[in-house]
Amino acid sequence: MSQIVTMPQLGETVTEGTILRWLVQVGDEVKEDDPILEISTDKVDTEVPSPFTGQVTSLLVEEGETVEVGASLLELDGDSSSSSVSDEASKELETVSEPVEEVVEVEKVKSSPVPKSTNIKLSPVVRKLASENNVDLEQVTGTGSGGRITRKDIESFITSGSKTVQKPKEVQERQKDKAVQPAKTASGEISRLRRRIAENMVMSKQTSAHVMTSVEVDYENVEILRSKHKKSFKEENGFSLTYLPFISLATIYALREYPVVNSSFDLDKDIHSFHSNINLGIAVDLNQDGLLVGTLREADSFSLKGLARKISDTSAKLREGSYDLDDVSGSTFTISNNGSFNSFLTSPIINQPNVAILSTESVKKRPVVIEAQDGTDSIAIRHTGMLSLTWDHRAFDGSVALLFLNSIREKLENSDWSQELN
Amino acid sequence: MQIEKITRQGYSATLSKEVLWDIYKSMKTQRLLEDRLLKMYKGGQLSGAVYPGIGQEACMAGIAAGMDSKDIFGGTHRDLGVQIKKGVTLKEIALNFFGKNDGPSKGRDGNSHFGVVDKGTLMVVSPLPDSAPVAVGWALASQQSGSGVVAVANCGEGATATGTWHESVNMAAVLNLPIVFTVQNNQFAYSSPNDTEFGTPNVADRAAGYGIPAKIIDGNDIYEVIDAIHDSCEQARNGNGPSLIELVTFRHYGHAGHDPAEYVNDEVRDFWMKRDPIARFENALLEEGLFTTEHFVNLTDELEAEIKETLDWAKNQDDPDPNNEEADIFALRTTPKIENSEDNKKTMNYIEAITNGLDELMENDENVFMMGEDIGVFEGAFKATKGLFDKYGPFRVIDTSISEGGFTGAAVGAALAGKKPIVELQFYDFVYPALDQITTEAAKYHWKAGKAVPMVVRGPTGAGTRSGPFHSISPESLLAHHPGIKVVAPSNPYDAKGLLVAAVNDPNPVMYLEHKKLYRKPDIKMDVPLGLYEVEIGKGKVVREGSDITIVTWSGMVSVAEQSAQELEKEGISVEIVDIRTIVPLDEEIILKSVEKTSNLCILQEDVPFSSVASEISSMVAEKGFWSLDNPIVKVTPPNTHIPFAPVLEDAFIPSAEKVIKAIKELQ
Repeated sequence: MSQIVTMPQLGETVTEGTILRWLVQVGDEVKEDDPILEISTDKVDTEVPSPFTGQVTSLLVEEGETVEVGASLLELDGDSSSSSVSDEASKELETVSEPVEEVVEVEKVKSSPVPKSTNIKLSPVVRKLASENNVDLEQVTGTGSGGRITRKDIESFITSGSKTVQKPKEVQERQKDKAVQPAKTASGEISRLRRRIAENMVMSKQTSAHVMTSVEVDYENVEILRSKHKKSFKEENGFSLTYLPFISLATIYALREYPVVNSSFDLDKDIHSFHSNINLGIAVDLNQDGLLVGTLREADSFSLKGLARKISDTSAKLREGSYDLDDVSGSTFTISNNGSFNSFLTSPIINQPNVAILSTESVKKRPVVIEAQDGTDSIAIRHTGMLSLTWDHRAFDGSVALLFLNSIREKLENSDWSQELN
Repeated sequence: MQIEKITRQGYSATLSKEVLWDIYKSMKTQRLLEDRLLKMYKGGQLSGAVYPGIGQEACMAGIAAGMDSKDIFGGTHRDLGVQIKKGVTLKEIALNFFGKNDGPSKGRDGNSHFGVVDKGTLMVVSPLPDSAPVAVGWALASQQSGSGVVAVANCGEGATATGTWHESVNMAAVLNLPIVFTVQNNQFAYSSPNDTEFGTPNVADRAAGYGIPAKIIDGNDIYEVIDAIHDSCEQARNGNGPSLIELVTFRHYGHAGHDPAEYVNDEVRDFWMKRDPIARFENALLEEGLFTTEHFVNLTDELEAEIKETLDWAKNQDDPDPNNEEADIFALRTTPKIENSEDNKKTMNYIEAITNGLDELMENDENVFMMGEDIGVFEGAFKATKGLFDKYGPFRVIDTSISEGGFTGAAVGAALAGKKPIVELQFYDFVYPALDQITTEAAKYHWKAGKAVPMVVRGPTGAGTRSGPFHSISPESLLAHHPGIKVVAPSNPYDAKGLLVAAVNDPNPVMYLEHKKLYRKPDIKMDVPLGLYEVEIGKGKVVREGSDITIVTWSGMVSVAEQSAQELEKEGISVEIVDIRTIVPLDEEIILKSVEKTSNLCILQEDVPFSSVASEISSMVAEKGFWSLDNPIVKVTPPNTHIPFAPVLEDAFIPSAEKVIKAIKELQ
């Protein structure tokens, strides 16, 4: 009996996937759960296990082809009653392989969102509203006949604030043949990751009222400790002790003092959510081939060392592409470590639905005027650097931003971290 | 060539030398002008057409000379001579021939197709004799007001074969109106001789069939024409009714400039050339010793120079503005909207509101009067004129013969004469015979002749009464297609009275469509203010607020829409209903605004679908409201067929709430 393997929906908002590589050929015998192909979607790149046991009779899509969720991928001739398909998997398969056209009862279609499709008909008003409100229609669930997006769908989507919900980050685009920096006259497709970054950046700019504020920090206190433990730390942990864990810890403490900075602000829904956990987002540069925000869940439960390790591990995972959805979603505040690229001052874009993002800037030795206790001034050489905060003026005002920044600064300058490293 | 003699005996014998010279001068002007125009036409210097009346100058000048200056003339394209004698200037004529902006028709019609109403000549149109019913209406107005004005309705012998002429003469005879029907029998209707046009030996023989007096006169004898016209006009002026005068004459040229008239044999032509009206008049004037040949020669020289100069001048005058094509299609209302200051209200059904409106309108303004079949003593087929005959009498609630074209055209003439006529069509299905008058005359008068035509054509429309295909139409699309007429279709008693008052006070022809199923519908009874008030023409109304879909409808379908909305509400679909109330001019704004709100549009109409008001609204929204739409526009209409009698068929024909609900649910 012939069986069809279809493109799975690997996430609520995924609508399509690209076939990266076939792992089987026509004629191959495959067992249930054997990997049969690799696919890349908006969210992850993954191997697809075969839901059936049988012989491959035809491959229905080419490598590199992008198809909609639910599209037929491969035909198998074999046993349909294979029992070891998990309940969840069978449920998923049922959903994605259900031929929508055959669903005649309108009610049924309405009650269960049908797989979205990019080539469904869009009415003039939906097109207009989507364009005016910068709505990604792939995010909107259609309740009209055949899954069509109606005016009501898009309006409730807009008023629910869904458009400002953070879209989890993508995995690294694996198509290495696409040049990172094409020659000036060369043109080509925009990679999936680049597209997602672009959409998120624009969406954030259109959502929040971005304001950038910065303070100057004297890192001498941190630098003394860091120099002292640098060598032993590297030997003990296998990675360097940077400024970032210190800044992260100071930030976590400051977030506790100013919970509004660790919040989400939804004007359309009229909801201001204060997050009980601090899920610290760390922006990770994928070797100049994209950017992802790794999430340190419940970061306020980590020690300095633990934080340092977690940052190092997460960065590595993201760069390798071996992470799951949890690693790239759910942050409540984000740090962008621009100092590692020798920045002086940066004005980062807020990672939605956060209300602020901190940019660490380069730490350098600079001449600083020091006032002694007796009131005399002298010039000293100190490690200093800027800390910049881009914050959402919708959620709070400048005083909070500066109190928050100065709280971080104060902790970095005055805390005794030595216990943390012993 | 021996010219036949004429002599003056009757009224013409009393005319002074100066009056006779004026008459001669107008005949000579016509001949020289038309001769010049014909030459220009043949030489390619004149667009359009020339319809020379050369040979018929005595008819034309004589008709005008026999009339009083205040009398009104309704004629044809071959009556330039009448227009000249009535005072229309060479400049006006020349401007019209060149289609110039300052001409009587502002370039909207050419050559001799114009009238100057203020000088006593009705607008000339091509379908003949379409000005005859208009002249009848002017005579009717004269009879009502006692102004002493007589109308002369003129045409050629060919046009007397039409129903329009018959209805006109018959109505005038029945109503004993001050009108004279003249027929210039110039031997040919275009190319057709008399025996192909009528079965009696003479046109005048037909008068017996109408019970009116008739004369056959020599149309080439200026004195005989003047006398006959004068006598008939005076008879009419004195209340002795209409008469018919056949003026036997001959057209020297063809029907128009392009027609060599080879159908005229030499014998006939020779016979008539001996009776050339100008030569005969000149001989008579010479014989009486009133003028000399030198007078005639000098006048010819003067006129030729004046004509040439005028034509040269006219050629260089301003053309009309092609960017302003829609100007003048409607007359602008200058009187204020009538606001009701009374608090008194009375519960009325739809037809009571109409009757009440008619009554108050007639009481308020003695120029308002009604015409129609069986509307007087019988009080109308649906009793819309109940009590009005008793109150206002036979001169203001006029029972007419079965002549829809005749009395609708008469309404045009009465309106031009200052009245506010309301015509009742017993069933709006009978608008078809009236359409010629509505579209040729009523719709074009303001546009082409600059004269407002405040008239109302009202009557029952709509199906649902088991009345079959000829008592059930919804004519709004048919009417709305014609520029220059307004169309209203009220759906409830309040709007019915308010729109009727607005229609009567509008300076334009308004087609007022009543729905016979609504006449006595108990559930739409409502409080209607006593005293005049208006519902503005061209303004729709949101009669039910909703958010999911707009139903645009009017007249009898409004209650179907309401019923549908109530059902749909139970299923969570919120319907907004726009009762447009007026078809022309359409309230586009209210429709677009509602569609902007709901994003969905259903147009519900009782009229058949093809090329209809629903099509127009659909097209308009697709053009102007495209970016508001969330679904295809849906039309709920009857099938594209005639209205059937059998109850099962008729019920299936008329859009029902079930059909509306189904159509809307399919959209969601």
